[in-house]
Amino acid sequence: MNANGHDEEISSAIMEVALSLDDPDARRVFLDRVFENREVARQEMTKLLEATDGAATFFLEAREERAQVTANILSEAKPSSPLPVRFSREESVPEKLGPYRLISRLGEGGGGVVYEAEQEHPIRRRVALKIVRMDEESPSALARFDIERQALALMDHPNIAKVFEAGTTPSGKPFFAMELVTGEPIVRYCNRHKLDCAARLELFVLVCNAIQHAHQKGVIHRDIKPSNILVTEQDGMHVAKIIDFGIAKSSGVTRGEAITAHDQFFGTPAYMSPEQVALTGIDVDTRSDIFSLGVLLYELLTGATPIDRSTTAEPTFSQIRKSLLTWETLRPSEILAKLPPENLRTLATERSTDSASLVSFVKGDLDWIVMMALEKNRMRRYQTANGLATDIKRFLTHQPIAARPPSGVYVLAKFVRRNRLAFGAAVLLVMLLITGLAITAAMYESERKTAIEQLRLKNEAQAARNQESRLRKQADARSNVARAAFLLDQGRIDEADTLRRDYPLSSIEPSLEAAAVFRSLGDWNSEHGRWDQAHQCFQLLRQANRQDVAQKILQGDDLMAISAALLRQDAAQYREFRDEVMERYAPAEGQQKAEHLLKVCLLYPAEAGILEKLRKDVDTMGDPRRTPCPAWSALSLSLYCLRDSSCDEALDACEIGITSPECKSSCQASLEAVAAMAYANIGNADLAGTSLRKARDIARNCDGKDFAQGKPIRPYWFDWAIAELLIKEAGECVETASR
Amino acid sequence: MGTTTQGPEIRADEFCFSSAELLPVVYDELRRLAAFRLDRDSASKTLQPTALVHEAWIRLSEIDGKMWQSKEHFFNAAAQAMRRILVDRVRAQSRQKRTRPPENLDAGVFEDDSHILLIHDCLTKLEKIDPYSAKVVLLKFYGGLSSEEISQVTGRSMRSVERQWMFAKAKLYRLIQEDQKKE
Repeated sequence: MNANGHDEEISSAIMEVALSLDDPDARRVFLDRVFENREVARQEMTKLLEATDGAATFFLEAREERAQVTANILSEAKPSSPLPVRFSREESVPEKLGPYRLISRLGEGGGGVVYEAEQEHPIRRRVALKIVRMDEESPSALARFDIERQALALMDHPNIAKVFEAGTTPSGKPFFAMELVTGEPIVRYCNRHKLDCAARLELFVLVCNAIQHAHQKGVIHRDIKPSNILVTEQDGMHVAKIIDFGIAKSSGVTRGEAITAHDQFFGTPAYMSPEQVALTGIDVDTRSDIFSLGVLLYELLTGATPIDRSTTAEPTFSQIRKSLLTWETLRPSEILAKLPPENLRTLATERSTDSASLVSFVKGDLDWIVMMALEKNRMRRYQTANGLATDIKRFLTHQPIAARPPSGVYVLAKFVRRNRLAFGAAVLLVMLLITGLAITAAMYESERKTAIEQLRLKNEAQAARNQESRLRKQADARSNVARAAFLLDQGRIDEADTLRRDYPLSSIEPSLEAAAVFRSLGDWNSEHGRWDQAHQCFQLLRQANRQDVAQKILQGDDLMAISAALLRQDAAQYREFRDEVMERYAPAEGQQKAEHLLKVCLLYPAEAGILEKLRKDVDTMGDPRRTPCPAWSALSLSLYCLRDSSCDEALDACEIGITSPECKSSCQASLEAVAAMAYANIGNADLAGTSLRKARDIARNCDGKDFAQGKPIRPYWFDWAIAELLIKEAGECVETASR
Repeated sequence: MGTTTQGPEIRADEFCFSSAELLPVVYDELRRLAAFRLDRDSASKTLQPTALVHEAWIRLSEIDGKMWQSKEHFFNAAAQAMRRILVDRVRAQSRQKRTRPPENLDAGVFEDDSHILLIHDCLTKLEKIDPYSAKVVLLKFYGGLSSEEISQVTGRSMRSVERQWMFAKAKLYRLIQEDQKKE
């Protein structure tokens, strides 16, 4: 077995290195080099790498099964025989440890038990003494402890509890004597003192700074959570202290083991980063703390952690892990908007504000900041705690943040806000810029066409609504304003310059930067029924989006807007777009993405090949009732079944959607239209007619507005565009069937 | 497989059990310990067999006149014993399931796709193609040993053990996937 044994050991080493490469491209290149000319071995390794995630899940579930089976066995065992003496060893704690006299037990954490103790010399003071739980018989664990305690001693920051001394108990267990911090866990403190969001953010920035300090000293916290951040009020200021630093590591467990050493979960699942819970053998680094900070920020703003805990009262670790790895986190503003009004009011009161202001404060930049901290892929997170703190500080002073995809409009909006121009003026300014770039967009489209064509577009625009033509007259002023705005905006000077230097903007590519402009303008035109212009904008947006991360686009609303705009105009263009979507975005990675993909691809009848390919996404989406947006998922599912000629299943899905309490009116109209088609297909003309009438009534009564649970909500034009397309199709379908 | 340098020394005149002979001894000891554990701390819902194996080692290593060849020998035997115990239990539960009405299914694991059985079956295969990986799975999953302890009993570095554990999990999981595809 020797040669073989070497082989296996080498394979596992290759695997370890491959796993440590976050970037899929780097991973591929690495494998190419290692397995040059050995395709079979390369494929085998690729399969193993693909299996790591499933394997980790499988073994976690296995472990839970094992615990359950053991519990079953043990519940039948009869107590007998005298108590073995050795078991009590763990509990025995001396009353005195060196200069420290233990007073009382404060609590127990992942790393060990904490006592309050009194130090007698050289100075008399109260300290917190943590006795670390570890295998004291292992020399390597002790050696690691030694290294770690030196790192801890290096930390010197007003917001980090000081470590005074580290030592070992007579029985050989390591202990830390630390600054005794009295205070309240940060979340509870904020709620009790009714700190408003801005004050919470300022406090959070202090926490980030402290974490940054630790990271610079090479210490990772690994267990950031509210109960490890204690806040007190000193001279009217809120002062945060972080406790329990790096203890998790010093207790001698590394990697995935850290969480589950000796079958006890280390750390708190709700605050752990995906790489901490993935247990696929990737070492955690400082970016894991950034994720935990993101969870904390999420909780400070929304009162809840991002994992959905409503499904089970006491989720097992593997369930938490699964939801952490697959659940698509709702943006803070989304989760707030989904709360029952009275809960939202309570949250708002705890933040000294009202419901509407709370949602609007969080919506936008804070959403972006939180979501960037919570990126599952650590490469796309803030890379440092400083970066996170900087963005929050910029947000608080109305400056552009790094987390948000940059766009001219956005930067300009920030500029306007910061300079406290009147709101009307700000709106006007943004409008000016959008219109300016709109012409750019139009010009780009007609790049290869003649000047006459450009003139025609110009004339068309002039003939448009009064406001726009008035704005158009100020074309020169417009570019100057935009230029000034960009130039004045610190940090964006070069980009602004480049943008302006290349004026006239006909040379601007449908780039990522331009996407936001195409999107805003497309939405604006759609909302005003100017479908020709909207159509152009969305064609450009489609091109721009090709340069972005496919799954990120799929998560957003763009594809729905584009597909609705194209199909409204011309089925052939839609089909061509659909082919591109299938090519570029399928399969979807996650429930919500799958829901979007299915809807986008099935607005129009689809051939068998497409349906076959989309089956995987139906599986990914799963039962609509268990997705973030059950009604929309039900619509996607019903569309799939309808196109797949499974009309009964389609009707079931429609039923799920229509009866779902949060179903929006636009969604309901779409579902009724699908139901009408399904009834028509199975020859039930009566019910088909009824459903179609319902769909039409809803659309007519809402007239572009949208409602959920009887209350008006913000309408999206494409929701209604989709409903109208389906109603139109249903109308034809019902008519054909009745003939 | 490396042998330990830290286990008790073997004297030629002392009697050593074979793994098969150990099984009932370990089993009994585990049950006894378990009962004690439950009695004392019934709140401990997360009780795992792992802690029991450790305690069994402490107890059994002190019994007069019976000597394990080595710590490695003991942990292997104990892990094999735990494997047998768990597998037998799950099989018995599956049989019960077939003869009982479905409403009694709430407690326990009655699934035919029991992870414990799947791991057991494929571990037997893995033992033939990659003994080191198989040993790590046995000690980790059935024996509940930490990487540190496995490194002590196998004589490999801890890093090597951890790496092998990650590798072995993926490999075993692939075997399980292949098996399920066949069915």
